[in-house]
Amino acid sequence: MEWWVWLIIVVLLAAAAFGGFVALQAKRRRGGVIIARENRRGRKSS
Amino acid sequence: MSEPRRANSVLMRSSEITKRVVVTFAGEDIAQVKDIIYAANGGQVGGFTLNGRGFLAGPLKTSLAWASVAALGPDAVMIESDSVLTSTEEVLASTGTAGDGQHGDILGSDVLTDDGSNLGRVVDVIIDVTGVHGDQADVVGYEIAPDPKMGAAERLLIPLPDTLAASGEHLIVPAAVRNFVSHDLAGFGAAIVAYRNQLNGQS
Repeated sequence: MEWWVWLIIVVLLAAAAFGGFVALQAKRRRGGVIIARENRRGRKSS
Repeated sequence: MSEPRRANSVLMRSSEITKRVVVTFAGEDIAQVKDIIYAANGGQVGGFTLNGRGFLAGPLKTSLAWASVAALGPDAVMIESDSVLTSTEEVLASTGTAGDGQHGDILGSDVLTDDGSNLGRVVDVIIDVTGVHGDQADVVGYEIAPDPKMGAAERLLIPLPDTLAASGEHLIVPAAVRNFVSHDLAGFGAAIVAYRNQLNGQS
């Protein structure tokens, strides 16, 4: 194969790896409101 | 018995708190809020899990217990120093939230009334923060994306009672909540008080 085909393949693979990392990192950093399972079944006032 | 909301309390959405930076009194910017931990013993906020600073940093193994928060300001969560951070398992255990994975995210859960109607899906949680220095923070309501059957297009705020029952993956609220929905935070404080008074048989 021509050298530029290899270059395109390498660039595409690098872009896919970077995109995957960014998506994974965004998922890991996403916040929420976490609660105990037992609390989801009922909480009592103090 | 419900209590009237305190004069110096502020209602805020959980999404306003997550991603807020955690800063020490020495001016060090050490973390960002990731999750809000909803304590199992009465609806108070028990603490925060944390992300490291910068996009490349993932979640930290340490968390911030609510008792260690010096102030919850509009732009930052202030703490005395990074020594007040403790292990996430410890904070989860102290709030009654098991550190063994037996906890879940409220966001995305369905809200059902006790007469079996689906009100919608939780998109945010409303927190009542009392005191300039964030003396106490209670979860007082949910913001929901209404079920299409409700005929409402925009998000609604529903107050929570003092006693709440839920089952499985659903959050259960009394059917009377339909009469106290709000569209914005401005009138939501009064709706919470009126709703809780009605549930407690007061006028």
